[in-house]
Amino acid sequence: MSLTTIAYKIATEPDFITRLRENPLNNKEIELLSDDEQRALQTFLSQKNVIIRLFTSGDGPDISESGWWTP
Amino acid sequence: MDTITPLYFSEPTTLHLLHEIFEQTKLHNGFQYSLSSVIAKVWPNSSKELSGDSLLALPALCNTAVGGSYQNFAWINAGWDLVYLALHLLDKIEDNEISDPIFTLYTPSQLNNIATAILFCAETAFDKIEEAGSFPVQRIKSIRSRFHNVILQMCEGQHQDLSKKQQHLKESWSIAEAKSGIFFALGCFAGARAASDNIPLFSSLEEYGYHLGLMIQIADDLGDLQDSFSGQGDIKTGKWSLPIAYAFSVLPDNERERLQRLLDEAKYSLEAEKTAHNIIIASGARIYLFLEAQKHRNKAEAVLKSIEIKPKYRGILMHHLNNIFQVKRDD
Repeated sequence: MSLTTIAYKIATEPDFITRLRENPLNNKEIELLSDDEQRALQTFLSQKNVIIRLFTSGDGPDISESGWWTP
Repeated sequence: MDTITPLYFSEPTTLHLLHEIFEQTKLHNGFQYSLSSVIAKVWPNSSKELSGDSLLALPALCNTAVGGSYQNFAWINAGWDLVYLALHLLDKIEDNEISDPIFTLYTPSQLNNIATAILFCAETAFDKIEEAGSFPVQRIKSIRSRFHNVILQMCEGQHQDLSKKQQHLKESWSIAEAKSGIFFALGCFAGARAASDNIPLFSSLEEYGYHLGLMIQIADDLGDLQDSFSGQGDIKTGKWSLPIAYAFSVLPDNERERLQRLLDEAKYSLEAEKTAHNIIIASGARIYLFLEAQKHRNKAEAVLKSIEIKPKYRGILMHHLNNIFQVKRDD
């Protein structure tokens, strides 16, 4: 399963994220992901929310930041 | 939030060096003012010392991380900064995002001309480096040649972005790579290459810059999605971005067709813009791009761990990776 499919299933199938959280490392659906992708997924599953920092012309963090979703 | 040791690169700043170029080339005061005022708008802190955690100091950071000296390197950092500013300005003109009062003093054609002038100031910066003779000729040749290659590839990426109304997700990633990945890779390469002949070392920092650049592009595209309903977002302006390309890649046929109709209508209908925005979010676009950003973060972190640089510099480079998407964990 690719990252696109996983993201779509997380967003559209409420049970999917529960299944991933219950058994994240031995989940058949994520076994084809690379190590970096699996780690990214672990980070996502353990998060409370995400703040994104945007840049203007690159002169340091600026403009806006916003708390996001709690999956 | 990780703690980093503050680092500042003092004079000469890029703006000091720019004025040196103005004096040498005998530009008239009026044109100097136009260039300076636009640069000050795009880059508000340009007259201050350069903070080590500013992205504009990325080449200098990589340079000092591998043993270089900022005093010698300042012109190269200025070259990269000026290219950054020129391309940023061109991007704004091409995307018609020039509603700020300072920009309205000029026509789009004048702004185009100003961006071109800034680009050639960057070229002049490289002449200065060669004149100074502070670096081995071979290193400067390889850095200068890489600059030219990367700018051409970025122009190609921008051309593709402007030419195609719809792109598959894979094409959108290629464009993101050409627009941001290789530019930040260039900054890190230039910094490390100027101070070192150690190929694995400067290649690793170049790879770090590539992943950082992609994270910045992801944040930029997500930011534009957040900006929906402000009149500047990608949905309203019809710009094809990573979240939109993702939604088209995962949605079933009927929803894809519906989204396309809404995107067509969004230019003149707020309702259509809102519905399109909701469909893109509901398809998991934020989740997908967060996962991709984390993937690049992990790759960049692994690269940093594989090389020997002082902890102080490693800390700031890690700070850049952790600062774009900040994660608050449950624990």
